[in-house]
Amino acid sequence: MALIDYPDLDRIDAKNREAIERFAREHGRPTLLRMMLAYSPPAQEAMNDLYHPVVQNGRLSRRLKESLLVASSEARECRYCAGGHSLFLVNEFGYDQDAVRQMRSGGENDGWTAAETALVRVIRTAASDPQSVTQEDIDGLRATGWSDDEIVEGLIMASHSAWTTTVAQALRLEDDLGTPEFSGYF
Amino acid sequence: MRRGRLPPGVVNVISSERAQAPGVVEGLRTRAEALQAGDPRDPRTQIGPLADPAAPARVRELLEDTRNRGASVAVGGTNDTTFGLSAGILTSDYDQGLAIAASLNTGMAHVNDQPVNDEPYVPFGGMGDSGYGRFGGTASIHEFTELRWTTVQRQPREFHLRTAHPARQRRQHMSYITAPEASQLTTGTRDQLELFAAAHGHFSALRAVVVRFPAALGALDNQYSLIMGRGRLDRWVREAVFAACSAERGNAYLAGAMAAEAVRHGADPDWVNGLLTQDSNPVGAGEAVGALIKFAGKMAREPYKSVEADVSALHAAGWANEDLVELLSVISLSAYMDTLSLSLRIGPQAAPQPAN
Repeated sequence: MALIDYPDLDRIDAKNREAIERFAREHGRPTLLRMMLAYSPPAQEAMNDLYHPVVQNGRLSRRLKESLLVASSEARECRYCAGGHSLFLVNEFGYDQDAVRQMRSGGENDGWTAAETALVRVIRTAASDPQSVTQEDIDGLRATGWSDDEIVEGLIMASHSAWTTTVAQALRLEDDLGTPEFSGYF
Repeated sequence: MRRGRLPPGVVNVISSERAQAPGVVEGLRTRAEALQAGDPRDPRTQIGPLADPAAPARVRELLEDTRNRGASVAVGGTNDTTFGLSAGILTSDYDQGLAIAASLNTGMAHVNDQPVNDEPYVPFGGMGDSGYGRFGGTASIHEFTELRWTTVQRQPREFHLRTAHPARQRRQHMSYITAPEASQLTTGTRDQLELFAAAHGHFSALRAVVVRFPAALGALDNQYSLIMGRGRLDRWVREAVFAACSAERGNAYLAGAMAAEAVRHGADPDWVNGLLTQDSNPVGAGEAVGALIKFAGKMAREPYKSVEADVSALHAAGWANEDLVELLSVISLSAYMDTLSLSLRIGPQAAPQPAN
């Protein structure tokens, strides 16, 4: 069980409820993270700004960004976040589960270019231990063709992951993944 | 075709290779001769009288001088004056028109238009003897104000972090990816950076790099104002929590910045400084706040080790679940900003470069 009770969703404001229901409508499953954020309307609203604008805009593809989020969440050992973004890859981008499992275990993906593989490696490092990223890592990404703007965009995914995994892990949301609604999680 | 009543009407330049063609000169002459001179009270009159009896002689003198110079319309002669209010350049080649405009020593230049133009928001004014500044819009503000750099240093600049992390030594290094030059930014993005600087008294080195992904800059500003600006916890508590988390992760840059914000919002400077510089008792600001700081420190380092006792301690200190989730949003925001800042070694040295 999560470390605190979920709020009574019948007693939260309409805007808060819409954020939770919208996720369920779009993805066919509940969002434990957003349910907990209902305790703090400003945090719920911040979450809206955190995900959609950066995933839907920019130079990197949404497919690559979701891959970076899976890799970052796994590097931070958050099963709840890694599982959620894994489902995006499977349901929306046609990945098979084995390929995503391989990615989560630190392996490479056959569909990635050399540049994408290099980017995933550095973002994984940034997510788990940002201080261990080196100038050589950044220069290596430049050498594979990434611009500074694109590298910053990739690192934003690691930052995003740091945000969500902190809440999910601190409240131990992954303890509630055993219910039938999450049977598709892996 | 002006009679000298309007100062901006003094210079006209006709450009393009075809300007010297007989057809152009003839066309102008025909058009000028067709203008109706006469009594200004007559609605058919297009050219009224000159200002005074001496004016015709002055005009004749100018015309004679022009003929003596070969009646040239070359740009080279246009700058040969101490005056320079406005110019109109008639041309079929926009690029050449802009090039000529750039070469003219006038405060205003209008391609394919008359020299007489004005709008309340434009920088109206001339060069040389034709002007003493610019007026209109922000130009008026610049004319009547002076920029000032003001800082308030409320506590020591150097924070000696509890963990002797290499990040502290790295502060002298350049960030791996620098801020783009200000000249490369859109006006909207520059305004966002300047708004932050105006509100906080300094530029944000982190935001100056995040502008490389504009959508993220908007997202960062929005979540910062939501999480740090609204909620149940006191603002100084939220800032202190952020500072404590950044210190825990070894980020001297953000720990220092947020510590200053905590003090600005009412935290005791000695308590904040002690929080960052040594293993001081976080309970110095009260048992309840101390419990928040202890929880935040652990979640900043190892959120995956969260246990029921951590949450129980907060409840025992009087905090509700609403406070706990709000606290987690602050810790998460600090994790977001620390991840980017630490992975690129962004510190104060990454301030935006001035435009050339």
